[in-house]
Amino acid sequence: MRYIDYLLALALLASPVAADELGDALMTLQTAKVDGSNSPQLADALRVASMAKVADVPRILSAVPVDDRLVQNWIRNAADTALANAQSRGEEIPMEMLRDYLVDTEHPPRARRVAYEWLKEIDPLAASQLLPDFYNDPDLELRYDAVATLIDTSNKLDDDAKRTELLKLAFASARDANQLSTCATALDQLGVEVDIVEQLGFITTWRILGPFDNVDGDGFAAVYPPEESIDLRTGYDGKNGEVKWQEIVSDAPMGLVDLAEPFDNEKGAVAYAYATIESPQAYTANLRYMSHNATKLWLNGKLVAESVVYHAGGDGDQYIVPVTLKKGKNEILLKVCQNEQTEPWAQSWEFALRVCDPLGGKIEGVE
Amino acid sequence: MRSLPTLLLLIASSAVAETPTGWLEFRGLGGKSAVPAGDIPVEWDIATGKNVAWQADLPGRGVSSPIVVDGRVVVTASDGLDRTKLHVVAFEADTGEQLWHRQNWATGRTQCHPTSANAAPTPASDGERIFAFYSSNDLICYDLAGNLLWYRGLVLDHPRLGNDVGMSSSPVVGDGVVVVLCECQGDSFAAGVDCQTGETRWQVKRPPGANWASPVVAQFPFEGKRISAVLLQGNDGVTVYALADGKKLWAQPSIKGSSIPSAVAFDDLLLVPGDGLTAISMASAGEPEVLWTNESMKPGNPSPLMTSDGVCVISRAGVLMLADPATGATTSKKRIGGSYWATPVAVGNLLYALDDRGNMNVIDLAKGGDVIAKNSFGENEETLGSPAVVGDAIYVRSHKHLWKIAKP
Repeated sequence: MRYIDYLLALALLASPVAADELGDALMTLQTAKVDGSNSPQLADALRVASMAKVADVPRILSAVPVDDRLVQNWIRNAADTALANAQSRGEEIPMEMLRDYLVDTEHPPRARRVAYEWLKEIDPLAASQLLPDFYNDPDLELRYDAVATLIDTSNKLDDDAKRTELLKLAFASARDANQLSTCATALDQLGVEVDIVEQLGFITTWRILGPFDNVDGDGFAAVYPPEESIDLRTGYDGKNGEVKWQEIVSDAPMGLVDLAEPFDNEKGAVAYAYATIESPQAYTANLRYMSHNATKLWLNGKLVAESVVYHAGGDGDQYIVPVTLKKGKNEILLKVCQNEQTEPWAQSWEFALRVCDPLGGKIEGVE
Repeated sequence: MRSLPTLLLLIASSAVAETPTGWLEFRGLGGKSAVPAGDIPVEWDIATGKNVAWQADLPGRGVSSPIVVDGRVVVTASDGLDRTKLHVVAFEADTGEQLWHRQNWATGRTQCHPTSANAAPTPASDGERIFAFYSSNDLICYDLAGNLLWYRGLVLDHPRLGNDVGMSSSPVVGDGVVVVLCECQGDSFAAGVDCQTGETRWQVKRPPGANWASPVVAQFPFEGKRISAVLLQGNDGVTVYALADGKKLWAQPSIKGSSIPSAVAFDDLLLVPGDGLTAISMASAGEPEVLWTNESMKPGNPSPLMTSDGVCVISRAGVLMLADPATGATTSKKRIGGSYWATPVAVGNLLYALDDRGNMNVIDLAKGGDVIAKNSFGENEETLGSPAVVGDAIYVRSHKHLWKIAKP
């Protein structure tokens, strides 16, 4: 062994979680592979990080990435284990450290959530006092809990005006359908009408076309004319004769569009739904939809999602599709395939689709 | 070839000889859900604490079972916005003290039926590690101290994997491999994942369609030898694969396997639920042999099990049925009432049958299946996870609580 290596080894032994070693460990954790092929290295790195000093925990948290869910979990485990180990060593976890990390929205959203959960454990009062301020937070979990406190607080108020004000704020901030529904019901009792469908950005006016053939499920792969070009004035050869585009406007809760009724409960059939939206500028957005039927989704002629799943649950945001809206007119085409199952629970032929920002809120100006 | 009486003798002697030191997976090892004996209370009272060793709060919902590994009770749970928060909690079995609690965010689909939870599959253990699995197809490995060893988000490399009713097949472990059965309409497969590294050792394609049943590990006869194997039941019948490499060893397409209650391996006897119940003998060194099928012995949601008084199932209508393991002939039918998801546990000649509403019926099989006690865990407790039994204690979880029931 070279003398310098010997000195380095001694230094490492004296300070097993030296700052650079923690940095190396965090870099390793960032390399988590989907196939698990580097798990032994990750587990070693996690062991190093989990022995970090309490003061280094914010550094661990800041390694939580915004999008990579696998790495998020590895880093979260490192932070949780480091704090749990510190607790078992009898070390104090400073409330101020967690609070300061939490309130800084420049930090990764999910890392702030971890800080909040630890703050809630060691100082529940401090956490509960901070929580209501997160009603518009970029972290959806914090936002959800904050909106829940707004709703709880409103329930305890006798003053209708203050209660209305708080519920309106909760409604404007909520991204969860159940919370929106709770707010809407309470506001309705106070004489204030709000529209969940509008708030969530559901598209309610569609042009629909069908039925085309989907016997034996072959229609899912078949390319019918709307997949090649959209001409709303043209008739086509459908499953049972000529078919034409027709307008349908949904007034159902959560923007639900029923296809079974307009297409006479046809089984083994394909329908298309088409809508256009105007966007004042390019946006990073989501198309979110549900359907109990097999679907394909196109945005501006590009296939962005498909699912060959029939009658297997699915409400709310069953499918979340990240997209980029272009400035001006955007065309949305949804193919909805009904199969030939005869069970009573396998008869629905429907969908609901909304356009929203990545946090699930309506994008202002997109009509 | 062993004769049937020899086979039954082996079954009986095995029941006497086995002394479980843990409850390592759904229904215990081999899916038997039975122990030969135990001084487990017949009656208890949650309100007064009578025969309640301890009660612990859980951080979220779950229909998975507790497992018991090396003095630790391990439970999975899920909660949070859109059921995305995945919990693994370990408790000291003696005291109920929480040893550690780890959390992750789901990487796959989290939608499920309102009665279920993302924490639907029961975790499994090889005695050194814990393999927590969720409806979102997150397969997470911890050591017994709660250190993350590996993490597989199976949806990340199988994007079409998922069932929005929820998935619930529990993993099983054998020969250094943890086996997961992921059957759905989108991307159906079974995989053997290396217990140490988390890498996929083998993967086999499975028929498309929802399946909530769990695999079962057994020693399977193949080419004159006994091979560690895993049996999968589904809409294409019953198929047996080698644990080591996923090689298909045997298939019986004529047995239409159920998609909810799971098969059980009792030494050389496999009990497969489907259109009734089918018994398969693995006693021969050659091909497995279908011993009998009894169409009236159709299990509801709970899996079948072998008891001191024969093969036992609970029907969808809450009827307890027993059958002769040699012939399959039904020997007893008794309505015990209630709705069940949890597989009952046999302790000697007592059967502990937990209904969905937090009631544990204790049934004396030696007395013709009489319910000799009914113990409530509380009016607002939903109990869909199967109990675990180790030593003289039975462990039960609801969406909110975990209990250890044992005499002082």
